[in-house]
Amino acid sequence: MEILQLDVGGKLAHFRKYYANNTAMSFSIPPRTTVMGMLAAILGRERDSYYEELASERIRISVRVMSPVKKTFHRLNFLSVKSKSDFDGSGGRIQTPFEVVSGYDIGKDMVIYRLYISYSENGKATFDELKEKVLQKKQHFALTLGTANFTASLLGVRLFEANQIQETAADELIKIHSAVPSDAVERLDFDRESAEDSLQMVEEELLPADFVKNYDRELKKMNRVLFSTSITGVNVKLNRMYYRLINVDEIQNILFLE
Amino acid sequence: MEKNNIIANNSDFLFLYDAAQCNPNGDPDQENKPRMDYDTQTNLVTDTRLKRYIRDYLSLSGKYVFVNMEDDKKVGMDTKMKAVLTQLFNDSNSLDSFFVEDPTMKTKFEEIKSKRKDGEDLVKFFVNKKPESIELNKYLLAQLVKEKFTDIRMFGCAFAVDGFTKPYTGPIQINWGFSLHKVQLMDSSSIVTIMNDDSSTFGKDYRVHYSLLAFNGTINKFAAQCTGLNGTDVETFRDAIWNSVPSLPTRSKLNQYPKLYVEVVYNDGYYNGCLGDLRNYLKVTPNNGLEETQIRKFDDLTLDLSALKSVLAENTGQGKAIKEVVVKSAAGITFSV
Repeated sequence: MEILQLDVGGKLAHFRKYYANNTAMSFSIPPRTTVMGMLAAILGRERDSYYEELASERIRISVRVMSPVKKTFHRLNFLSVKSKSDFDGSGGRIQTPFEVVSGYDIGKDMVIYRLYISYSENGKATFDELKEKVLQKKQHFALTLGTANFTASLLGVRLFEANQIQETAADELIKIHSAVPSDAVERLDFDRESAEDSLQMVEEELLPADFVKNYDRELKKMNRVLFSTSITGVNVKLNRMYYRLINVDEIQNILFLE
Repeated sequence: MEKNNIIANNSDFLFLYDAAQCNPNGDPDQENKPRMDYDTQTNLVTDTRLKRYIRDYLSLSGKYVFVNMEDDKKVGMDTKMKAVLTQLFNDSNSLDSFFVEDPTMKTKFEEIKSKRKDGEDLVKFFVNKKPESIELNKYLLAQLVKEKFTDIRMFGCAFAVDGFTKPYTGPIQINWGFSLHKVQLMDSSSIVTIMNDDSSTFGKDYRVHYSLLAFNGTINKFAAQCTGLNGTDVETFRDAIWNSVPSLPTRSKLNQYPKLYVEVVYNDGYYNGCLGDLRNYLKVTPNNGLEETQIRKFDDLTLDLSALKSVLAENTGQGKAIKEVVVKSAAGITFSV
């Protein structure tokens, strides 16, 4: 087994909550489907063509927040489109609240996510191609955080080889750095007093995970996911094995979103 | 022919302009006050605002802009497409160059043309909910983008026209801009319009004292293959981003001038974002013991470009990332690598 760790960062991000109608709300972390899109951009796959190739059965994905994030609303003046002829503006404008994810200080801070990528047996070829591309920093299309205009860059890449990965059973409370599937969590320990970062928040969201292969962005699968909005991670008791990623400066505990 | 000269290098760019006593980008949610992140007193401008300056400028300089009005009238995308096709079908010269890439399409086109009774009928054949010739429609749209729609070659567009439904992701993407320092809003003054006695209205006029805004953007050579962004287009873009901001000075957009444009063109094998967001290398400090919010003009601040300069210098040379750096700077700013 191998796990790729990719740090992706930019100034602003927007991960659209697809079920919101007028208000363009954003998730705090990129859902699995967004990460699929980022990987497809690196690999140079065409729009909507990669739903099967990067599906949960083949490619394993998880996310960690690497910089504290905040979310703010800005009002955008969109065209109000109720029929095709309204694209000219004859249907008037509609002021749409648009939620933006940023660091605490937009000027100085960045939004950084760490993506963990691994594979199942039939995803190995894709994983190897991805590994080749990122280790040489040869991504194809430009990376973005959610929408095409929120430009991002690949800040760092690390490959964990089999001897640096331990699949471990958890009997007690353990700090998990990545986002975790909610159904893997038996108990959550959240003590604001003892938290290293008193601004940290734990969020739970139902995130899109996979698309049906019909080029229409129809959802096939969702994951209920628990995560911290700061770098510290969550303290949880798990009902399944987790992965310990070992390198000299840090031991990270992660679970894949599946 | 020009259209085959698609860009062969990725690049990232940085663009700075300043705004004095005006409203760089109104926030419709806040009585059209300048868009702000109030936590940190950062002034914000969306990418769409900047792209509108560029589209208006392109249009004024005689380029065809698709996301625009037709003859000063708001028209639907369908109507717009019909107007474009009518014009095209009446011009045999440009029609000929349309089919240079694939002459078999010309045969198909001529066949269809011979069966339609007039030009209008021919246009209707293509702009149609159920097009009978999907392949030819796709080809026509691709050629229209490559030959006519400068703005779409740059920024892309989600076409939603009967018979021509296709999303194009633009090779040029611009992130939201933000001020490099804390910005203070001016006390507002009421303005009144008295066009006629019955319908005069009061409004508030909100402005920033001063804001030095920075944008980061990318140009991707792979996405360029889809829209056909060519070398001349990139030259046009550089000219437009620099000249467009002060070229349409309406009341709320007065006193805005470009300060610095730095485009980093990468060598083959180097990719967008390899130096990160270029704004991370900038630093602004107020002069003469002023607070950041007391900055009122460019001379009140020091723009430190040394980090940018050294990262560009470190990455230039044999076997390194940067092929060339394109710089435009206003009077008072000197920058070279």
